Amino acid sequence: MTKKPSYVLEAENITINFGGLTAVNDVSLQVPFESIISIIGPNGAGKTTFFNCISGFYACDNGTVFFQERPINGIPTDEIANLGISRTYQNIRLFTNMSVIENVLIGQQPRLRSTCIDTLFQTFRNRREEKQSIQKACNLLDFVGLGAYADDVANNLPYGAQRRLEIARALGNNPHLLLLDEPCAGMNPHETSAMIELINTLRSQLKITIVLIEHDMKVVMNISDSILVLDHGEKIAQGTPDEIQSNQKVIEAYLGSGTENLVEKYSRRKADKGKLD
Amino acid sequence: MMKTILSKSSKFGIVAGIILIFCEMINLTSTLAEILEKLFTGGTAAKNAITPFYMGLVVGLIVFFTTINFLRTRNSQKKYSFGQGFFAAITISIVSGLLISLLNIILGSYLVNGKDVRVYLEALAPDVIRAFLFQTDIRQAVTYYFMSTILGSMAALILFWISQKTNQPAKSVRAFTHLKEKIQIGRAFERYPAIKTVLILLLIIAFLLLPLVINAYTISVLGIVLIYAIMGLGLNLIVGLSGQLVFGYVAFFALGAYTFGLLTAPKPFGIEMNFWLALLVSLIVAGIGGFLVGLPIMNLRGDYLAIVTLGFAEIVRILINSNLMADYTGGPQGIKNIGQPIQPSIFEKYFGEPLEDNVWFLYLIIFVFLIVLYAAFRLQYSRTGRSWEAMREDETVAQACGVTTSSYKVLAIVIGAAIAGAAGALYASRNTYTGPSEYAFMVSVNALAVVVVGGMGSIPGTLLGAFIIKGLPELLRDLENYRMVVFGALLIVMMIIRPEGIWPVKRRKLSVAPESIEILKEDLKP
Amino acid sequence: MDAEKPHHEPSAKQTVKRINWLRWIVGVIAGAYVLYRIIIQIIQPEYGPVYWLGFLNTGLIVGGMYSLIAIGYTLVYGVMLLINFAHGDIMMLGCFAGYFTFEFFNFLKVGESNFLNAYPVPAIILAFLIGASVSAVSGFYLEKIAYRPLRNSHVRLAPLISAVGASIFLETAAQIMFGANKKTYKNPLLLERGTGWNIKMGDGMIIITKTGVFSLIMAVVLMIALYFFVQKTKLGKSIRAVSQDKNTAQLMGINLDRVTSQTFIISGILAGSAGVMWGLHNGLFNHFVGFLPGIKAFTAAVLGGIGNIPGAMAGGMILGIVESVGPAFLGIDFQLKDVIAFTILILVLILKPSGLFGKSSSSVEKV
Repeated sequence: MTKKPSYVLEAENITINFGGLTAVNDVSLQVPFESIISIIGPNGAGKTTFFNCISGFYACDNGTVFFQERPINGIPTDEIANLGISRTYQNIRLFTNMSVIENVLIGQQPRLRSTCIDTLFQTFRNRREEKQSIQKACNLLDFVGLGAYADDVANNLPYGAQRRLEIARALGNNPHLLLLDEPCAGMNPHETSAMIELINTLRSQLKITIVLIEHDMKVVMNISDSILVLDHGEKIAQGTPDEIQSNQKVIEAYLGSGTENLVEKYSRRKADKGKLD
Repeated sequence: MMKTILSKSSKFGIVAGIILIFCEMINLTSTLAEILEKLFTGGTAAKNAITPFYMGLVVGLIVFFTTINFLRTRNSQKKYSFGQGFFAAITISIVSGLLISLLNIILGSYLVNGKDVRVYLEALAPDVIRAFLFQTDIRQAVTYYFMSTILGSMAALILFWISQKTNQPAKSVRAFTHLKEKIQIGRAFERYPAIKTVLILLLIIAFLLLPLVINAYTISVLGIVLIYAIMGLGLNLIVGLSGQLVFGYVAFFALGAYTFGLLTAPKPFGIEMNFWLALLVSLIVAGIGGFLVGLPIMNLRGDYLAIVTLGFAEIVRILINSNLMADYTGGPQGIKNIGQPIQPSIFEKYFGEPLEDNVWFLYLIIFVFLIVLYAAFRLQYSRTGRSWEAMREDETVAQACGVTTSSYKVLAIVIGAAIAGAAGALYASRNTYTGPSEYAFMVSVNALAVVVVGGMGSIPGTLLGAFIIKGLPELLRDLENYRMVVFGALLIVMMIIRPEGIWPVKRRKLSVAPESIEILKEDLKP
Repeated sequence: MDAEKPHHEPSAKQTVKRINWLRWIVGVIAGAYVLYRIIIQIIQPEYGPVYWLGFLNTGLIVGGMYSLIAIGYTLVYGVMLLINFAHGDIMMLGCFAGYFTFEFFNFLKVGESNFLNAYPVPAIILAFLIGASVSAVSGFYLEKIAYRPLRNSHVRLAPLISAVGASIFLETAAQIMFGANKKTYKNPLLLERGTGWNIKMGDGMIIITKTGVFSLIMAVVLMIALYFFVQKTKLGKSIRAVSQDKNTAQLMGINLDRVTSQTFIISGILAGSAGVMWGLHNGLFNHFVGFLPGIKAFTAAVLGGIGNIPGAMAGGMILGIVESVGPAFLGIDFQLKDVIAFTILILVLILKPSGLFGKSSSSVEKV
């Protein structure tokens, strides 16, 4: 490639229809390198649908998704993993009966090259690759704080650990872009802060771009560079956390109309306190 | 309270009664009685003179276990009081006694009138019915039945009561839990890995020496067990690891067997290829068959996949059997004079005389078995095996992680098919004759049971399964007829109580010490 | 930064393309051969129209039986998403029950003759009732013992393996109990096998058997009854609701356990009736009688679109006709009749898994 692409991910005018229902209507998003973008919105706003389109699970009826200026519409999910996009899932989908480290090893699939012939004859390439991938998996587990669980069956992990395992698995293919679907769902405040820290580390240390869906406003406001707000499948706002907090339309979407007074009260209180807690 | 106990215990009584009736209709009761008698008295009791005591014993045991089961079911309050238990036991025994007596009254009257029931119920020859009637008349027999049921349920009640009083689980329950724990053999290996190596070495030595010391019958049985073990290992890759339920496995077995037969028999083609070459070709042909089957069915879900492969297998069998293909496949007559492997002369030099044919062949089977075992083992604990397992666990997510599910699915079937082909070739050569009747659906079911009962995705489990499915029935020759019935019931029961198999797969310990984060950062550079 | 180059393994997209290619090839070859045979039949027919009508006749009769069994498969699949592999054996049990009933009536003396021939109509009605009941009860307990405990099993394949186990159990238990030899149905003289009418046509003859006519009429009546049942009655509506959306139906107050049991009972009734019909019409049977019809009926259900009741009915008839007409039409040995059914099964599942009338399989997986 000659020139460096300006955005990791660019979604242009994405529309997704299910039968008669328009789940996502003409939504566009640009994701700069090494940024953290959050997608928020009330339930049923189309966030996960949009996500699924970016990650290749759904086909969109209109619009194009560009990954580093290369269109990826309709590419099967395994090739998307090859390209360097990984994701986690809203309702944790681990390989339940496999061990933790095996889960992480699967995530490295796009990076591994030995075939079954190599395996059968135990070639040097195979043995070296096994060793390296296991080492990398252990490093990843240590990085997310799951080193102690490495040989346990994935099913037996506590909830918070399972979420982190999903992230460790997603890191296996050295992704440019990481899509996190509600990474903090069901977590207590302690776990949430740990997750926030992890996400920040992912960007700062590993230079990964992150797009996440989240309902927990604390998390969203804390870590996002930019927030995209969807409601009923449409983009109603996009901007920095500050901009979004005081955005009338956003508040209405969550709380219903007739809330102008609330906006005033909110902004006043914020000015008083100095920072949203 | 009493009313619910009444209804519940009568339901249990009906269940016991139906089990008793069923066992009698398939002649299981008298067969078991015979076995028990042999066991305890050591004599060979003539079939028509089964001592009444043992009949009663079998009946009593069935009611015994039913009652135990009833008493063990906890209701919302605590367990049953003795009075309630007694009441329940009586109900169970009376209801079941009624039902079984009814059957025997009917059978007895047929017998008395000289009619042979075998027209309708083939298992019930006159002597069998006499055994059912405790070798006396109908009225006495009914009395004996009620005695047996009452004694059985009372014994259960007393045992249960004692165990409750002493606050220890009933002996039978304890024995059962002990058995269950013993079955988790894998854990011992984990604690003392040295045991595993020693055991494996011993097994290998035993394997190598065994064929020389055992008799011809055992050699034959061992041969079948190993061939099914080979098939099991192949099917384990497909069903156990990659989660594709294939019902038509026998098709690849047949493919291998027939290819081998056609290549080495004088008729119809007269090629008479060398044994090893033919074996290799059969393997490849079966693998190609697997490819052709695996490719179009890639997108099918579990149930459909199973039935389609069943369809394939049946088509193969019908075609082999048909007159249409008879010129190529030998038709219903099959293929005769299939090629045999030639013994290398070193055996003769070492032992002074050549090994007997079946001993030599058994070594051959062991040799192929070890190769397949090695291959299966390597494949399972590798990237390929993990990819298969990931596909089995969650195909969509596996694909999103980068696993090319379509390729891996076909790969599993191809390798599994090739292994079946090798097994088939060995099978054909061993029998020197093969025909379409040997490749019925039952073979697929046997192979499936080997994997499922032994442990899906587990290699030691599969080997255990092969021994249980094919070896055990040989040891229990008396119960030969009931093999299949037990089989079917076994599949259902296994799925309910222990779907992962008797020897479930154990995850390997892979972890190593982590390195610094700098190395990780370097590693993760996109 | 360059986008990562795709891995060196054959990309999934390529393989999928190759699959669709293969499907097209298979479909085209099959279609071409059929076309070729049609042309031959028109230009230089091997069989006169009399033969075709004869085949059609056979096809309708056997198709009716397939339809009844196929409805059972489709009902159970709709409610439980399970292929009841033992359904063919449920039919077998009904067949046996009918046999024993007729034998008993034959044995019962009434005046000069026996009950069977003195009161043939009540005898037949009773035989059907008993056959249907036996199958219904068997189906009920089959579900209770082998399927219900596995409803929430964490092993995906468990219910299907259990179904195979149940099938083997029933078949071999029947074999031990009743012997492996084939038995012969004792028909009432009114409905004696092989008797019927010969209709002259052209220079040939079509043979229409009494048992054939009876079976066909019976099958149609049962299918109509079932259709109204499913459409109009409360239970029928519950079954349809559960087939559509299990969870919502439960939220609406439908008892899943009861509906499942009742579905098995209904499919048992149909299968049992088909079993008795089979015995009356074909005469010979043994413990394996349910195996092939079971698979073929399943093929029919898939052909019509699994979960679709009218589809199952249509599929059964179509399969029956195609199977009977097929060997002559395709110019192959009559021995290979069963291959036709299996081939159809494979072709349908590979080319169009949703069947002829089923809803299209565009179910996008929820992620």
